[in-house]
Amino acid sequence: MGFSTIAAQILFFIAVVGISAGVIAVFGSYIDQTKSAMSDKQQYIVGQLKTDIVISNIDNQSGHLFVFVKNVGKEQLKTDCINLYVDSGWVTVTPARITDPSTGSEATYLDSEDTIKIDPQAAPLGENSVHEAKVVTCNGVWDTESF
Amino acid sequence: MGFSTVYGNIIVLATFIILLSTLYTVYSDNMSDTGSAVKAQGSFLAERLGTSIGISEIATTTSDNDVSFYVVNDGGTTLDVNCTDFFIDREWIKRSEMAELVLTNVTFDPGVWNPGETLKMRVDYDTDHGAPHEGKVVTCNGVSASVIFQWAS
Repeated sequence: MGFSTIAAQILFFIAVVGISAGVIAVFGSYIDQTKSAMSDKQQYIVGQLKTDIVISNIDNQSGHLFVFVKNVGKEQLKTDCINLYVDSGWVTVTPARITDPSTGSEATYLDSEDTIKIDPQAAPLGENSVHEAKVVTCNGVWDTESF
Repeated sequence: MGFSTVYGNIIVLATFIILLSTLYTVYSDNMSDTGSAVKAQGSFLAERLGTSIGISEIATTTSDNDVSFYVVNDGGTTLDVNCTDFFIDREWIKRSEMAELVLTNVTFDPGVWNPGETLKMRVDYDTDHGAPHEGKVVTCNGVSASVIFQWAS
């Protein structure tokens, strides 16, 4: 193999690397977007897998309706997007009405093994029929309880 | 096959391998994290399945409105006392209102509620002594037990 052949091979190699880099650069943004989407989806799935709640108690008497929710998962939950449904109807719950039952102060987060008290501005329901409460967390994990 | 075809193939192959390895790295990291999360979920589900409590007794003293819960850990999971919730007639009993919250028959490992041990919670609770009432206990992992009781006459 002569010098000219080696030089030509080197030139070809450099050209191949350069063109490959060019092609990767073109596809780079697609790859970045795919990576980002995969990471987002993965974080969402991991969050869901680590989340679990239990409606531990429903107090529907003495002129009020209180729903106690316990975080039995391993994920800290935000309370500002927790949804409450009673008998399949969405119930308004302002953040100030989600409290730590021990202190009575507003609970912004629900830590693992902690309990919150949801005090919706809703009248207590008739005691002669069965009702259902459903609490849905920000990442879509939910629990229902009949009372 | 000419040089141009060979180098063309090399370019396509190199690009493909690089893109694939990039995606594989991300996918591999994601699968590892998801695997850990599945494991964590399995762990707390298994913990809950292994948890069982029973309210073995509710003792009342009418003269001073004392209600004492005796709750036995009859499952296979060691529990935490500090995040155990108590309710009487669906009303939350605050920790600060409890006159007593102790494990009665600690044989080892004090501070945690081991299987076989009984947790006693005593509270001064003023309510109608004639009607039946409901006592409920919820463990840290969401397992609960409830019982209907009446004040001792």
